[in-house]
Amino acid sequence: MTVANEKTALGFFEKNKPYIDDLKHTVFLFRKSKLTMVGFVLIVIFLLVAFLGPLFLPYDPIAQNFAVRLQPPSQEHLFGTDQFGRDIFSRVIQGSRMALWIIFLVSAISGLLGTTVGIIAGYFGGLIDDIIMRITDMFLAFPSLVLAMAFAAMMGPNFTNTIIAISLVNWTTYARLARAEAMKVKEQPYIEAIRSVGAGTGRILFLHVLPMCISPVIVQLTLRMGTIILTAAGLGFLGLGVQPPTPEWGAMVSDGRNFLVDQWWISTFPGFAIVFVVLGFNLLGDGIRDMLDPRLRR
Amino acid sequence: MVEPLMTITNLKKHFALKKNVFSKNVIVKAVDDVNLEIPRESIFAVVGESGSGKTTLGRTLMKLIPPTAGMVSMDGKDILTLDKKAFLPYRRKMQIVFQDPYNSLHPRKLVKTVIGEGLKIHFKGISEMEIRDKIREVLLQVGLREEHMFRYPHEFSGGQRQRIAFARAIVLEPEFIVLDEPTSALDVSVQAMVLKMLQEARAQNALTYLFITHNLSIVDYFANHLAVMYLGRVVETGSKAEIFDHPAHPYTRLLMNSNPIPDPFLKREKQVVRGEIPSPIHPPSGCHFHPRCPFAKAECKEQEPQYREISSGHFIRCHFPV
Amino acid sequence: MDKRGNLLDVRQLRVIFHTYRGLIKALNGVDLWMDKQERLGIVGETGCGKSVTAQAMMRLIEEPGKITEGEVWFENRDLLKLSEDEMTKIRGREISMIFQEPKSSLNPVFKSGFQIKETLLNAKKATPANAEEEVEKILGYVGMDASRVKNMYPHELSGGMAQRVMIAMALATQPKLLIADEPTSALDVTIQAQILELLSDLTQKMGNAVMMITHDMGIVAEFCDRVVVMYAGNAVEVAPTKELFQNPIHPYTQGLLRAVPRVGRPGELKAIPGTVPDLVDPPEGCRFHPRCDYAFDQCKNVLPPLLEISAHHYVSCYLCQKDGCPSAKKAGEEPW
Ligand SMILES: Nc1ncnc2c1ncn2[C@@H]1O[C@H](COP(=O)(O)OP(=O)(O)OP(=O)(O)O)[C@@H](O)[C@H]1O
Ligand SMILES: Nc1ncnc2c1ncn2[C@@H]1O[C@H](COP(=O)(O)OP(=O)(O)OP(=O)(O)O)[C@@H](O)[C@H]1O
Ligand code: SF4
Ligand SMILES: [Mg+2]
Ligand SMILES: [Mg+2]
Repeated sequence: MTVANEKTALGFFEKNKPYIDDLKHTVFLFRKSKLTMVGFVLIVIFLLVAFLGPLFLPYDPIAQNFAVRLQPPSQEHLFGTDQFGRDIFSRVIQGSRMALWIIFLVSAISGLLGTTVGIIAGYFGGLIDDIIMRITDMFLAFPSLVLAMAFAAMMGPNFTNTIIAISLVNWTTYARLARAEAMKVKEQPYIEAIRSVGAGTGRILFLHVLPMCISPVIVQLTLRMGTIILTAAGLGFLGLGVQPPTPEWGAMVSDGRNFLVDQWWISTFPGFAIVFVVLGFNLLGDGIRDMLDPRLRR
Repeated sequence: MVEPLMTITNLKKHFALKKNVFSKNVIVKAVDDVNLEIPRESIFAVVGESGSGKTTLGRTLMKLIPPTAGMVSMDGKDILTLDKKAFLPYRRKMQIVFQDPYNSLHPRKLVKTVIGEGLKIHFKGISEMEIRDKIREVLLQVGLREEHMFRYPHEFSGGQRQRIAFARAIVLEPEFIVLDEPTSALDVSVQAMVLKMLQEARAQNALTYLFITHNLSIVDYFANHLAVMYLGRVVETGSKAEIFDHPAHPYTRLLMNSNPIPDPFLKREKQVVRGEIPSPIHPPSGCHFHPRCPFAKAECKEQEPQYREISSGHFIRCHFPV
Repeated sequence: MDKRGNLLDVRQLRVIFHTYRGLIKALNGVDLWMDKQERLGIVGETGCGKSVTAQAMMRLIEEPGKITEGEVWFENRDLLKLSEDEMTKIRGREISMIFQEPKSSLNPVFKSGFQIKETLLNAKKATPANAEEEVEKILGYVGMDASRVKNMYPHELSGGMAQRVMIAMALATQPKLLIADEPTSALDVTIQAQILELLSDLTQKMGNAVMMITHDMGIVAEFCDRVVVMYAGNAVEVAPTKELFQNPIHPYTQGLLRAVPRVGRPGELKAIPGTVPDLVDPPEGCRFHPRCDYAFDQCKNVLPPLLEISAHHYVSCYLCQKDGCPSAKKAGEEPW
């Protein structure tokens, strides 16, 4: 008995074997694609900067200092200063944390909302499905930036509303994905088998269908992180996003647009930051999508 | 005669197929007017070709899909009309094992969870220790080991997965199990092991099997009663010995004749019947088998043969039994 | 070189697949041979390499797979040494193949008649002038209503009809060898009987050799002249059909035959203990040794060669060299 019990104590690796096998194979494909690796490196840099950067800022990113207004890049101010004398380097670094927050919160909210709505639509089908799908159609009929602008303008520009607006624009993608997955999963024999054992609808939906829908949604989340940043920057640029003086890349680009000819650095460096992160997410996302292409699997 | 465990009376299951928005629904009579008596502790085989309605019969019996008409009574009670709550004890008494070992176990659940889930549903308040004990017991019974509890389905071969699926069924201590082609995806040597395991488990637990298959050799080896289905209808039923010795329906004879026999010394006149299996959407008039039947006469085309008893317990649906 | 068959002689064929799990040693030196007009059965369980053998002979192994060794003598050429152009001329003309899933082997966007016609024109077995006529004739041979079927798309055909079209296409070019990879596994028994009868009649009339890949001992018994039993990437026993059923010698063959249920012969089915090996890390020596009742030290080291132990009966097992063949040891017992 004791021997058996020792054996049954589960190590982390045994417990997660299917995931780990998947991961191994993913890494195998991953290392074959250079561009994906580039994307991966860019994102790792972004994450490091966002987590650690703000701890080592050379200047306060918000404090104004008119003595050093509009200085070009130099030893003291790597990226120069803006019209209020704030150090752009410090602001770009601080902005990365803002960007990460937006990505994280929007992904969490829209992912959760989308998955829940999606599996309900997919599993029950019929009228519920029709209604939910028509709603998502309405959302998908507008370009996401336009829709986000409309929401942000309606609710008033601030950080919370930026998150809500972008989430509202994004959840439909995940809802459709989760729905498609749920429709596929509910036809599988293992679901019928669980039904034949006597499981009720709630149990089937949350214990059996949901876990199968999560991984495609997570992949889609990574694919769309670049877009989220772009939308956030778009809102910031238009003044509908996070409000000054909080450093946000879109708003910073916008700040510099009156000085574009003579003080190019004000807009350019936050712009680079946006390009850097969006490129990173897109390369990584494309790589992941290719990896999940069933023709390349197994 | 002993009281049968299950009596199926005039059971029908029709599916409405929508071809497109404009055409009206077509009806597929997947199970059409089936009458069977399943004796207690028997192995009752259902054979027939693809699309003959075997799986649909099993799923309807199990109340996994609602019937179109008819009655299924178990222990004298009509189970199809019971509401959810009243049916729950029967859910436990009747279990099913599916054909496809690769898709009938949840890919992201431990074997323990797969088998234990039913226990949690049917035995409220059961402790974790009791669950483990029971699972250990059934795993041993189906020829697996205790530590297999903590593995995932993809780590097992097809035969082992069918054992797990069977363990999931017997852990609930059922009386009746539908086995839907449990070995058709397996290699012969693995099939032999699984069949043996099934036979032992039946003897040990006093089980009744409804064994769906398209392989007559397995029926001969495994079953003691038999029903032959063709396009949704049972065309012949009776004890296995009776049907193998005196097959009366032309289709049964054709099936037996088509079954390849692994004996190169056997000389038999292979009688190959022309014609395709008709579409179940538009089955032939009268006797569904008449276009392929070597004995068919005008009557077969016009009139549906009645389901009748030609000798004790041997029923047939044919105008001109052989 | 001394050839064992006057049509085909495959020697020591080895194929590997690179996968993330490691190297799959799918074929471990397969030996088989065929005479003209012969019907050879290849049996064995899932994953033992039946399909890979056929693909390797046709040089259809693709990434991540590779033929690492071997010779495939077809008449007087080693197919593995031919240029791709020369090989193209052999595929579909001198050697044709049919598969388990006939529908997915047909092109879904063309009518079946058109596909047969293309095959004929490609192989120069018809001229544009008489192609149409030839197509109808060939569809007639495979027992179909030509005027109707030639205008049907693959999805409109039933499984049995699609397999007939495939057979029509495969035989249209009058190949010397037809490789049939489980041609009836996806079909119902009554349709399976029709297709087997058709294949039997046609190949007899036209004089093609047939390599029948199957896992159904019944089909072997009814269709084949000679049988190759494969296990985990090796041919372990080769014998004429009757001889194999009457006097199976390799312990695996014996186990396989005992596991087959059979009408009119109730009684115990005996399973082979254990499971088929993982070909990433196969057992050394005889790959069957971990499951074999008779295994002794020698079996665990070096693969036993395929030796002729009586006329036309070849076995790859050390028992036959040690103290007589395993069947002799169980005197009095039925072979299976
Ligand atoms: N959910 C469904 N909706 C519509 N038609 C269905 C459904 N399930 C089964 N059918 C139809 O009912 C008929 C009988 O199907 P069933 O699966 O019961 O056959 P079967 O005898 O089990 O065949 P097989 O040997 O292929 O498993 C078929 O024509 C099938 O297309
Ligand atoms: N494209 C491939 N990539 C990786 N491994 C492969 C590939 N094709 C075949 N294999 C491996 O080669 C081995 C032999 O496969 P093969 O398809 O020849 O088996 P088989 O005898 O035809 O089985 P079945 O009866 O299931 O058709 C298997 O272990 C399989 O996993
Ligand atoms: S009823 Fe007629 S057609 Fe049908 S099986 Fe009997 S003899 Fe044949
Ligand atoms: Mg079925
Ligand atoms: Mg194969």
